[in-house]
Amino acid sequence: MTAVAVLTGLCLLLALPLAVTAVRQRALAAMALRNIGRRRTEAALVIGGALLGTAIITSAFVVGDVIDGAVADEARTRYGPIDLTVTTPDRDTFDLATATVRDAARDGALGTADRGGVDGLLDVTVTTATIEAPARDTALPRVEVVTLDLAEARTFGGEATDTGLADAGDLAPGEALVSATTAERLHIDIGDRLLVHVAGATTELTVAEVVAQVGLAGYGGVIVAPGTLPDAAAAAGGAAPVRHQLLVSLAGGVFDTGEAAGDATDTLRTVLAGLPDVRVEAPKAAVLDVAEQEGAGFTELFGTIGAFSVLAGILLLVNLFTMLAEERRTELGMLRALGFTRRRLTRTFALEGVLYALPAAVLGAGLGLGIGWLVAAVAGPLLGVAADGARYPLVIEPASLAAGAALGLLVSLVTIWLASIRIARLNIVRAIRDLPEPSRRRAGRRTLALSGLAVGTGVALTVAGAVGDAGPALLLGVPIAAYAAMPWLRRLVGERRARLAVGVIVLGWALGVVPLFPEVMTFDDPVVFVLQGVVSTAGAVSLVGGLDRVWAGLIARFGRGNGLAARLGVAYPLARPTRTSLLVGMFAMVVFTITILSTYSVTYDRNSDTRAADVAIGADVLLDTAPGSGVDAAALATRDDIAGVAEMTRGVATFTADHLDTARAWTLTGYDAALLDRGMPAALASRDPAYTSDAAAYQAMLDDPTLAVVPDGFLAGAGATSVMVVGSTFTALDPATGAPHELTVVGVGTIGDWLGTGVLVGQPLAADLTAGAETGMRSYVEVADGADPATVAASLNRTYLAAGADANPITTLVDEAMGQLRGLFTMLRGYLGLGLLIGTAGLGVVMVRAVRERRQGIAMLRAMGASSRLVRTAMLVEAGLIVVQGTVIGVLLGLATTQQLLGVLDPDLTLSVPWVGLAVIVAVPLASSLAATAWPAARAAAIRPAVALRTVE
Amino acid sequence: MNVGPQRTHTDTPAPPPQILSARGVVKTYRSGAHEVSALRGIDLDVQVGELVTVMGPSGNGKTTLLNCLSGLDDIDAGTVTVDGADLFAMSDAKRTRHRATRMGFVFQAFNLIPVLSAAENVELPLLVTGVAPKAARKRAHDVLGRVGLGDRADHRPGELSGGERQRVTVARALVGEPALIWADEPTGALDSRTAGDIIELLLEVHAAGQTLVIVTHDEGLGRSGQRLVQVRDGRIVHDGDPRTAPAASELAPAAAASVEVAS
Repeated sequence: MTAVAVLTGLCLLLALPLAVTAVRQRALAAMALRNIGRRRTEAALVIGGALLGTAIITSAFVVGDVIDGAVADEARTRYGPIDLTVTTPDRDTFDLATATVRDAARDGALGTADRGGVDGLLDVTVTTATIEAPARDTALPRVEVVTLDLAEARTFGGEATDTGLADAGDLAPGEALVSATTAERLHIDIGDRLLVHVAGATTELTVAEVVAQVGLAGYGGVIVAPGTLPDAAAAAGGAAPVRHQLLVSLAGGVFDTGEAAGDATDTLRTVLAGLPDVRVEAPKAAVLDVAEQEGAGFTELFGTIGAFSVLAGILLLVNLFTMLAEERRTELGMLRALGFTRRRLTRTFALEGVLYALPAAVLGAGLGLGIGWLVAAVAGPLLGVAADGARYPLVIEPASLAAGAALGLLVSLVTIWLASIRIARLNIVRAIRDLPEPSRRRAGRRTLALSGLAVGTGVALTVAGAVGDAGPALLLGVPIAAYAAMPWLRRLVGERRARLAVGVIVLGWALGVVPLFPEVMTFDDPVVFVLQGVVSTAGAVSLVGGLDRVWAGLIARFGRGNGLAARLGVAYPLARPTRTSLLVGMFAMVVFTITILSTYSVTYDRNSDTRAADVAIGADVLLDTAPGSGVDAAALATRDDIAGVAEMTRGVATFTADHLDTARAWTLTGYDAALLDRGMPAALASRDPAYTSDAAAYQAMLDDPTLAVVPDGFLAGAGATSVMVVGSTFTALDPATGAPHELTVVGVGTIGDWLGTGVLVGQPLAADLTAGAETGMRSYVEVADGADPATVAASLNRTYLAAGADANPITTLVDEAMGQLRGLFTMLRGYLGLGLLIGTAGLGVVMVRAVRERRQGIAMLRAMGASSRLVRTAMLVEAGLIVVQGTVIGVLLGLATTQQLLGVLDPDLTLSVPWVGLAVIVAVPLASSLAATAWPAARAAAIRPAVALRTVE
Repeated sequence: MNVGPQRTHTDTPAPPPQILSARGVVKTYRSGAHEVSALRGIDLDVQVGELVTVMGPSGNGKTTLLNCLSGLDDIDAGTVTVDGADLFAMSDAKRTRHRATRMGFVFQAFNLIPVLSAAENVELPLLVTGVAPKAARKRAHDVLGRVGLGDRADHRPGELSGGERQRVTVARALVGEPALIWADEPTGALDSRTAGDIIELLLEVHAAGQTLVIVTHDEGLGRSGQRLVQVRDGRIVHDGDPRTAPAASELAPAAAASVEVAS
């Protein structure tokens, strides 16, 4: 909210003087309004361009809000009134724990009714089972079966509807309530027969009711009456691995108890410390924290990607206002002659800009809301960011809308003010007589002194960045110094060479800084990625701008016929390097990002076999089995279709880190020396340099229980400081005591935890940190020669159904995981399409204005006998030249940057160039821009010379 | 200074052929219910090699006459023949082509393309008609040399003075060796000294055999030609010896040249 206030304050600061001017000088306001009114189409296009910029900014916030809302919805669908859980496998311990919790609640130790007071306790038993629906020929491993008293459950917590069981009927013996999600997966309905397999025992149940995935009904996939499962286990002659749980509801709404839950957890852990094997957790608070982090992460991701489109929008605005000013030069010069001060002229011009910017900000925020929701609603399920059954609500968060609108407006206002200030510096006589500005004057001493100072600052920034491991400073220092040195370079080598030199230096630095300073340029901070894109684009555009002779030479050599259309088409872009650079830069930045996304996507696709081989460690099938299922390597190895088996321990552990408010659950896998003999469980993108190889790091972890390898994105939040890198520390909580166990990151996995390995540690530590019933076994199965992995996986699923087997060919798992990544890339490319829309619309507007600006020149050409076709072709060549330069720069830089990103983030991957995709990336902007230019070009061709050349007679 | 196109003069006693013939040319501008009769039946012949100046009060149809007789603008009635071709019997494309090969233009506002150099501006009419770039550039340099701008060929219009810019436009009009050059207020945007230079240049061009029709307010230029055409209220009121033409003050426009169309 503070950020919104600051942004709004800044907007007001910039807009207020204009509002005062508009009120006090009605004529100026009328002039601005009429200027818009007489060019409605162009005004609409300008507003459209600015509107898209604001929409992109806003949508990044909205994506975060919707993802936050969707993930947080798990609090409603899976937990409802459940805030805390007190779990123990032992019934006697459980009874003691329950009594202790009741005492604490009664004494007010868990908070008062105002804040965190307990408003419900519910005794349940939870068992992980495999559910089979014989009639449907379906089965589902690892379903939580909750045993509870329905009458008590309906009154649990403050609000009966939150339990999801308010309308559920009573259960007769042998009946079960099934959650909607479980029913959907098993394709079952009321009356269907279910077989519940728990620890070798099977119980037959009938579906009494399918209940909505809400609260307690979502906490368990299947709900049964008390006594049902222990009886079944007893009948089978074994002890069912049940977990006795006391569910605690704190006073307050479903989404409001996060903070109180943290305090209550600490209190309960303290009062229950004397009891063995008792775990206290706050699962709903963790979900809400994850939701916030996920939302922030998505906002950051889409904000980073969208930044390029927003920058394109800024360049468009600058260009439009510069053109607008040039078009009005005579009028503005006249106003100065009539006695307007520069300040008043600035305001007069800015006033018109504000009339564009204000509706653009408001409409853009509205459009951003829709785009953001659409993106989140498509991306969320695609990536599985929220729990099954979660909704992706259209979250209308006033703060986000206000922030998006204010940020968009601020960008526009700053651009408008700067352009207006520049415009107001016009020379009155030259403006009135419409004479061109004189060539750049030789820089004076003051300019040279300031230039020298800026060069020094740039150099200092570079050194500080290199020494202080600050990527942004290191990246920006050299370009600042190079551009600041322009006045000196102009003196020494002339304008064109100076531009070329600066272009070469800046581009060279942008591309060379990563290999030169790999430790600093780690891309952990997304800002570095954005800055590198901006700096390399600026360098390339400067360089290309200095190559005007090359273009002219090419046209002279290869131009069709005598190349007049081409020559005229390139004449304006080459003669106006600043304007051309802005347009070229606009396209280059958007295409740059789209190229990176496309190349990354294709590279991952084409490396999927390698990826599968990397993580398979010689196995073909991955088999996960339920805790205590009794399926072990020895049993598997006896099968004819299996050649070998390696095992890992896999479970869910609880972690905290300095940047997290609450603990988060994450998969943790333990490996042993036998598995390491077969290969490494995950490829590393980065490794502690103390180890000479990845294998050495994994070996060290077996001996040192303070070391861990974490997957990419582990415990990630928004911002560079919330990313785990080599050397970072985090804490795993002992499941029984909550005691912290500090771990240091010795390696970070490559992008994509394809097999869901999670955090990797030595097996003994994994067993400690996932102690309890949730720990399962993971087996890497190597199939026998000639056996088909898919067939073996299906056979394993059938054979070990009761053990909760979940077997899949490793290639299938990797493909599925890559599909998610591919989906994200596609989504981001679509999102960036908005940037291309800005570019295309912008070019269209610029060309419309160009026709107006060159009306007399075009008329003269027509008077001299130039055909309307020639005029039209020249305009299209001009647009084409700009787009081709922009897209080619964007594509080349995108490829180069992807190569660097891969080198840093995933060094094992080989870059694959998406040739077809690149052709589309070049063709789409070119075609759409030519289409957008067709109308102004036709207008230019239709100019009647006598009308355009008519002078006052 | 030899500035005109290189034409062969004959000594035959026969009158020189006509380059322009206009008969009954009518032009009316319409804006909603408002109509302005700009030309009300213009008859005009111009012989090859003539220097015709057109004068008259502001708003009486001089520029419209130039625009219509050169084919830059459409006419409502009448015929215009330039170098043997009926302009308004042609399609727009053919008329454009005819203009490109047979006519040159000089305007008050110069109308040079600001992003092209002087040489590039001058070579444009040649490139429009399909002349090869190298040949066009050579010819442009030659003509610029003839108008005294040989050393300014690579400068852009913004780097030239007003007089120099107008010389470039004269060079541009000459470069295609047109049959007829139209000049609309060629000295209107220049100071008197520079205007004098341009008048001198145009007279030299004419002396070299070039046919010129010049619309002007400049009395000096207007009366320096062989033939002065005076226009008032869209009609030619004098066509002949400049010495016998009425003074400008006698040509005050009629009270109402525009006519409201009855609804």
